[in-house]
Amino acid sequence: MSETHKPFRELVKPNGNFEFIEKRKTWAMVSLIVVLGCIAMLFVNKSTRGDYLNWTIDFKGGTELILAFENQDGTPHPVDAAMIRGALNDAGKSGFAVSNFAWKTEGPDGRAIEASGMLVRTPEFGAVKKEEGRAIAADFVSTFADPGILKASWSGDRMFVRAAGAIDWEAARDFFHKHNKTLREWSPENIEEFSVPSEGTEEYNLQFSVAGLDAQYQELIAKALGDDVVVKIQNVYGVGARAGEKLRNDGIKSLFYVMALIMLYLAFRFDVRYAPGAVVALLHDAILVIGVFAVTWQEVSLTTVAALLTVIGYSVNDSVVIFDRIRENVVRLKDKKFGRVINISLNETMARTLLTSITLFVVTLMMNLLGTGLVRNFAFAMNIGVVVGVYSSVFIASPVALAIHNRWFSGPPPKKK
Amino acid sequence: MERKVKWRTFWLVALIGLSVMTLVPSFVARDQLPSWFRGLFSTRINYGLDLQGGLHIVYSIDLDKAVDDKASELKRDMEAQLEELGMKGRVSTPPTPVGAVSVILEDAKNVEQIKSRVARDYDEIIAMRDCPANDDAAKSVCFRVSSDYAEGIKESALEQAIQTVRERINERGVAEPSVIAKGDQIIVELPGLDEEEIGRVKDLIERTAKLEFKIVDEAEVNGKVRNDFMKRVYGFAKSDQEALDKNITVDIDQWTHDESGRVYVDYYLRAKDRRKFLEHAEADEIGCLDVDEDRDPRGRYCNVTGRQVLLGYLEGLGARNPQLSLDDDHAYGYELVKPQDPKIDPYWRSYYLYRAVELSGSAVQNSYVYWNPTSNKPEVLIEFNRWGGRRFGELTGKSVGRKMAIILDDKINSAPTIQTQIAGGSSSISMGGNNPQQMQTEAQDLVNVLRTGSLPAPLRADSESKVGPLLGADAVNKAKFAFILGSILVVLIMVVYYRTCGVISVVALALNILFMMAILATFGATLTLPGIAALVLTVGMAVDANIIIYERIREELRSGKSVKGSVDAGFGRGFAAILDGQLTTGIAGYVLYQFGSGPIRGFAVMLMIGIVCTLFSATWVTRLFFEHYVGKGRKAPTISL
Repeated sequence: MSETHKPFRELVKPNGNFEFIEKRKTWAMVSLIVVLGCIAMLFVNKSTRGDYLNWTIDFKGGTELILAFENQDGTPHPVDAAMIRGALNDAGKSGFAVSNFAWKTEGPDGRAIEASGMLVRTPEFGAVKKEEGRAIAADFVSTFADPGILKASWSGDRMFVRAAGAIDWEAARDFFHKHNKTLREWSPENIEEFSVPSEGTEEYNLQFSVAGLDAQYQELIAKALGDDVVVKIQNVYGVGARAGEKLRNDGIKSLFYVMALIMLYLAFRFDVRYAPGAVVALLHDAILVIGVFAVTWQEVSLTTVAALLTVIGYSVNDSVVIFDRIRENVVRLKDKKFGRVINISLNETMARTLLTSITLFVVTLMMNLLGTGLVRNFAFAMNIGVVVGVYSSVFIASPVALAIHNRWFSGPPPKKK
Repeated sequence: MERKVKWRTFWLVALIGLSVMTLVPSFVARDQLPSWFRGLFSTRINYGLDLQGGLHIVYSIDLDKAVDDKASELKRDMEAQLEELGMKGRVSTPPTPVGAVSVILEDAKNVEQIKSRVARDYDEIIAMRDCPANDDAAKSVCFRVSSDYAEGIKESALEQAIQTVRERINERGVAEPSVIAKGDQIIVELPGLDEEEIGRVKDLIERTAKLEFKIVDEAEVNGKVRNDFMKRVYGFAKSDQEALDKNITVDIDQWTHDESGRVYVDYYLRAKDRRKFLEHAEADEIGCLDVDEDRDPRGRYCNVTGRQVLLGYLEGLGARNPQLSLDDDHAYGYELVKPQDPKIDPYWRSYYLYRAVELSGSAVQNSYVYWNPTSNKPEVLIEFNRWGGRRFGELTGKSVGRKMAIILDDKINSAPTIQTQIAGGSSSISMGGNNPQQMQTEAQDLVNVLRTGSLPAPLRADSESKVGPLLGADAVNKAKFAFILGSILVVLIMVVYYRTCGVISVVALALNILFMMAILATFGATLTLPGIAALVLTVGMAVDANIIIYERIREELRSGKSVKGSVDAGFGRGFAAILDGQLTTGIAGYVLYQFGSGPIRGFAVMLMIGIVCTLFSATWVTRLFFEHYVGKGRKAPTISL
């Protein structure tokens, strides 16, 4: 043997014969308890924390702002989160959350420095809320009774007005200012368009667009901090309630489609005995990953859904390689029982299963430790997914395949009274 | 066998060379490359908004607002009708349901007459509804804008909105804007803009489109001069150096009025779109936005549309030659002409129009494409409302034979010839050309324009994200670091565990990454932060294929096979498992691509590219390396695994 190669460096000894199959009922019980625990955790969260999972605005709707604070000379200006909270409270805002947010950036002298930033989350999306918009529109009609308003209605942050006469921008600006809204300037084309009536109806069609939510918050905070501090908007991410709903539906649909397609593929590529095992395993993995997110109260965003789908893909990948070996061994070891064949196959593929998981775990761990935001969230889900993925493909997928084989493919189940 | 291996090595080297070349434009500035190279390899990796900063907005059509407007228009129309009929009553538009109109008459006996009028005039656009149960119920007629009509408008509005938004943005010279439809939403992505410009662009997008009809003032009829202004412009521009510099050409338009046989002649200018380096002041003037991160003091690149070229030239003419300045009654209009011959590039042409807006979108009730059985050609049918129909009758009556420009958003969509006076309240426009496919498309475009103009539906943001470039840069740096560190660890594991064979797999992995990037560049795909995550993930997953093969080879070696036999068996038997494993991950990637948007899509693309490359490099490429390592030529009796 040593003529062809040096002794292998081995993670697990070959010809090992660990009993995976004998104790399958124990493993199944363990998994069942953990899965039920995960599901229970969702309801615990619902009653104690108000929601099943820590959904981000992707699914709830709302706006996330990242603001940077600088002195006039461009150096970072440290800001206290409590102060921002106070300022927003005073302005009548509610339901928001403020936390510190730092990142590396280039200072005025070109050296890398830590920027002083703040992450503000609010359940609001548009600059004008529905009821507020109605009130403003009604007030607009009464304020501009001369020249007369036929209709004022909102679409997003923009008010459409049909008026009997022209209204000049300055008057409108003062009106909106009264309602704490900043009217955006009209472009030259706007001015031309709004100053002439449409022929036939003789009505003036005007549009007033107000500054968005981000500008509103920026202004509020800047006012509270005084003139010495420059408040810059770094990032804005806003999702409307309708869009949030759509994203949520898409997310659920995509999970469903992945499972259906994978089942179809396995049924086609192997046979029906294998497909349910892999699907039970991937469900197990998905639930466990979700469970960890529930327990740790980590944020669940669109990226988490992407990670979940990847975990599912990986979980099946792991199961499939084992199935492939089982299929091969069933032909080779005709005299052995299916359960034995599975156990031999599991042992033969053990080195691969472990090594692959280690490499994948290592790279995702690096992303988890070094990455930021979305990447970190993704990597966290992957870390858990890799661990539970290995477990499930060894202890869940194959035993389920065996159970199905025993129940439907080999006459009456043996040793049952 | 030897020959085969040589050929395969040749192909691999060629492929590596090609991949490297493909990547050059992504990493080397464009103007540093020789022109022959730029011609061959021009596409580059695009960085997603999360990496380079920019604006990403998902819009949907605010149909409620449009339907509400339509109801107001119906109200106006009904009021006019009541007055005409001498009936007393009032018309209201209750807030719910959306688009509701109630006519409350003083005399209950008029109800039936009004009902039949409403049914006759607005048959397709309304649905009757029950009046609210109150004292007025018996003398009221209640209806609302029908949802079928609204849905029909929505489709047209969506298609038109995408086009209009795209044009509005293109006019601003934003580099690589992306405007795409996804379901009934429009996704707009604009890379690298600053705060103020974002505001301007949003304003531009959210504006509703405006439809107008104007009459073309032609130069000659039957050889007699009617208005020689454009002929003078034509004559001047023909030999003008500035026009020559701007690639402006001149041309003559001629058409015949079928019935009377009158021949009309018109003179016009034309110009093509181009990308140009402009000084900042000049760029600001045409509204071209500054998207460059590091400002070039000399100026910036802008998309200059043919329309902007013509506009700038024609408006400057007055100052150079007072004879050529536009009078108050006239205006220029511009149309983008797409010639039937695909070899001729689209170009913009000018029109000389009467300034007066003869008719606007609010005069149009609805519009359809229909197939004229006599001519066997598609035509566009326009239905006007009562007021619009009357006005259109007058207009066509006095302008028979002339051209009428249909203008949406200040762009002439088409300028058909008025063949006869049209008094019936509906008009049909026949399409020019012989290609039925193209005529059908043009007809549909025109219908979209007319419908959109008849019921301007604003775009409303469903979700919005603005990314500053600073945070993106920080995230990329961290992701890069994670990628490098992760890769080093994987390399260590592989080399320590598999020795020389581990080195082979590491080389294959490096090539894998090279191929992935090359594919990304070839398709001009977008690299996002989740895309980088997928790249890192691929590093972790790609070695799986090697591991499967190596473990297999080890098993064969343990059973006492020769090195050559073991390697053959390892590759042969391992392949099925590798394929299955990668394909199941591919399924997840595919579904993500279908449902995801923005950055997530970038992740899915990268994941799928990674799978293809892994299959290739872990089997074909690694196999080739093994041919060299333990192949026939070298009677390698041992293997370092």
